[in-house]
Amino acid sequence: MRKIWTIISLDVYTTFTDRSLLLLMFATPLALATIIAVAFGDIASGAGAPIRDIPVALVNLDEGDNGQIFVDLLIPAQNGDAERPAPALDCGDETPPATTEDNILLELTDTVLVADAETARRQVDSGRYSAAIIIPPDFSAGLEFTPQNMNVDPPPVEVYADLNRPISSDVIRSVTQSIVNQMLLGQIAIASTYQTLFDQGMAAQSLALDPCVFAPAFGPDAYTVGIAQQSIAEDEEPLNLLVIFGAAQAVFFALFTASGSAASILEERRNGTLQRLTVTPTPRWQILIGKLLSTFSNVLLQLVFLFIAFVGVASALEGELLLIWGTNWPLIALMLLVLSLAAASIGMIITALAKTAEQANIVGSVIALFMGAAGGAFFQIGELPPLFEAITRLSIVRWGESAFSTLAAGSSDIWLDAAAMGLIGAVFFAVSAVIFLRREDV
Amino acid sequence: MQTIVEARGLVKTYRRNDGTEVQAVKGVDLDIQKGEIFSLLGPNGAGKTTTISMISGLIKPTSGDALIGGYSITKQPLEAKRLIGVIPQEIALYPTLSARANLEFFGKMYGLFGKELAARVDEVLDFIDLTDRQKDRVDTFSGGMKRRVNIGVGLLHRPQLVYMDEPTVGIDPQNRRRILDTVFRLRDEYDMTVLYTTHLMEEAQELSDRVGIIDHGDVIAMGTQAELTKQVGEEDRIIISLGEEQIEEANLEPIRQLTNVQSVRHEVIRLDALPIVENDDEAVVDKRGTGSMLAVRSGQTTETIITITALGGRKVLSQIITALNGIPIQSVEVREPDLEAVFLNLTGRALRD
Ligand SMILES: Nc1ncnc2c1ncn2[C@@H]1O[C@H](COP(=O)(O)OP(=O)(O)OP(=O)(O)O)[C@@H](O)[C@H]1O
Ligand SMILES: [Mg+2]
Repeated sequence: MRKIWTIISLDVYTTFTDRSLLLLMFATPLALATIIAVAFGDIASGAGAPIRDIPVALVNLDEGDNGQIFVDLLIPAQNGDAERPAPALDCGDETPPATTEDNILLELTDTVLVADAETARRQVDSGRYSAAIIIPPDFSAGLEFTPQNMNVDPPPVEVYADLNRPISSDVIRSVTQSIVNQMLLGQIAIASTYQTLFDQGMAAQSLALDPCVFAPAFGPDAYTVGIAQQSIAEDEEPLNLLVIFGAAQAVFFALFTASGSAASILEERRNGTLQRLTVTPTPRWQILIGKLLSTFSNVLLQLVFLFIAFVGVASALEGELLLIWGTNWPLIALMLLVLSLAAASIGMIITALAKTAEQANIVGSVIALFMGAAGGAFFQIGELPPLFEAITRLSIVRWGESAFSTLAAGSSDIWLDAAAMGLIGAVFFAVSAVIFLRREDV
Repeated sequence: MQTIVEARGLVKTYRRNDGTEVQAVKGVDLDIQKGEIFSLLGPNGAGKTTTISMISGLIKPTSGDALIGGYSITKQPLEAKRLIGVIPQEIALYPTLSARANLEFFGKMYGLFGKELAARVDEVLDFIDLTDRQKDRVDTFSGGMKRRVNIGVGLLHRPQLVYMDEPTVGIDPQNRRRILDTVFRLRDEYDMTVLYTTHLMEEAQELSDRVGIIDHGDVIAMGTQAELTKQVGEEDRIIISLGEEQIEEANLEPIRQLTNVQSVRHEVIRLDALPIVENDDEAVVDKRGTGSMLAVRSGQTTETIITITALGGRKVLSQIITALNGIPIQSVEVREPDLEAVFLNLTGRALRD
């Protein structure tokens, strides 16, 4: 036992006296997660829609109906349904009216109608609005498919944005793009349907086809579905973004620590100290367990530090103590332990299979990047095809993020996550132990 | 005499990456007596390190076993390892730790803790003469100082048996002298047994109580130096250097005709192929083992050497020179039977080849 402890202390000491390693282990994930979280959302508000009330000027010069759809989407009806502007297509009562609460865009922006484009641009320049959306006069005409106008090619909607507010401008630009895209999609679908019918010699009927048939699929309410993806983490329980990105980044960088720390076995093999350890009267399994536990300790210390630091960052932004991980201490501790164990054994298996420390580091980085991407360390992942969905289950970043989000939301339903990570840890460590103990060259 | 190392039929077969097999050690028997300095002498690649690795428990023998102080290294490795201090061929230390921290770490791995550990570390630091630099990181040390720490680590637990694998390779003459003196001190002051490997005949000759000669994975001779040299008989070797001058085989015929001359052979050595350290006499002796230092210094690129074995070498020397019939001679050396001669006799090759 004492010898295992000796090995652990040596490795932890070596790691924590290496400045460049400390930078990678602590400063980088802390900074990255904070930057991503701040960029994506207003942390201090802690609210669900992280970016809200972006001031936007909307200039609707369109002579057709489609410009009005923009207005409907971005500007709330003043006095409930009564004052609600007429829908673009009047198809009777089948289309349920969009309520203000349904429409995330209403929260996202604070849009005001402005009469002419010049004024709007000037007011963006003066800083009053973050962006101006200018819908050209013949927008609907260009967009709408008719047997006379078979090319759906609307003139572009102009987004005049304040470059000093890059995030707001980007959001507005992509919102606009996505509304236009959906309109195009709708029209193209109509167009191709017409085309099909036309080709089948059903031109007569098709001319009479009621566009309202398509309306429920492409009406204003349908648009909100796609646009909702522009916002982040629209949950009932609004989560602090630092929870999601913090947990993901912490686990992501823990994987680097794990593979780097486990690869020290290979470095020691190269500089001969492993051989030296082997000729001391120490059983091989003790050396192996020592190395696993020192990797585990390095990762655990890193995670604990980062999790505390994220509480610090969140509290500093909020101006008061904000326990972003929740207060279920035993489960938080449990998760940190299984997470460290899983990361450590992933590091061990990489080391067991690699020939040199360099190789282990490269493979380790690739695996960390994959797990990071699959676990949402860099961007939110939405719906995935089943195959990818299955692959992401190998990512401990995903399990870690999911478990900590659950705990942060006040739930304790993390047993699946804990079990998954425990399993990953146990299997990988067992396999790497077999490889190590059978390896000839020490 | 008590035997402390008794190796029987040690074989090690390595499998290369391309699937081929190399038999690095082909059935080595060794008997090392307690309290002696035993040298394992052999050229590069002979299997010295592989043998040491097997009898220290670093690698498993493909077959065979060794008893260390009565414990089997394969079946009771922990007991056997406690008796052994290994000083590896390459420096094996944690570069970012201080000398003291390195010693303390390995001391703990040998089961030393607390006051005893501190006392042993102090003792070893004093022995390797690094007490004043003990707090400095090893990567700030000179090569010679690192070697000394490397040796120190193997001595912490006061082993009965010390393995030193070519500890003087790449070392300047002054530090080499120091290491050779250390070997004597280990035997004489600490009653340790030393197994010392080298490819240098001179080192084996100076240090050893007994010598094992290893070549191509086989121990081809083992015994005291007197016992070994007796095998080659009473013949002296006469080594004649002709400098860059070439010689025809026919010109050696008159020498062969002389009574008492046993064998004559000549070879041309390419000097530029030898790694020569500027102003380092040792580097040349290392490779050549003959008195041709001058030649190397004058920028000569080849050297023709005639090696003659003869009974009573000094007496036939003048006849030999006469027989060379005016061919210019650069230097002449007469050697009494030594380990080099034994190796030559057993393998037909010089140790340096
Ligand atoms: N891990 C290995 N894999 C394959 N072959 C090996 C391995 N280690 C050593 N060998 C081969 O075994 C033979 C003996 O090597 P060894 O290192 O024991 O020689 P040595 O006498 O110590 O030589 P040197 O004086 O150069 O240190 C060499 O041919 C070497 O190439
Ligand atoms: Mg060697």
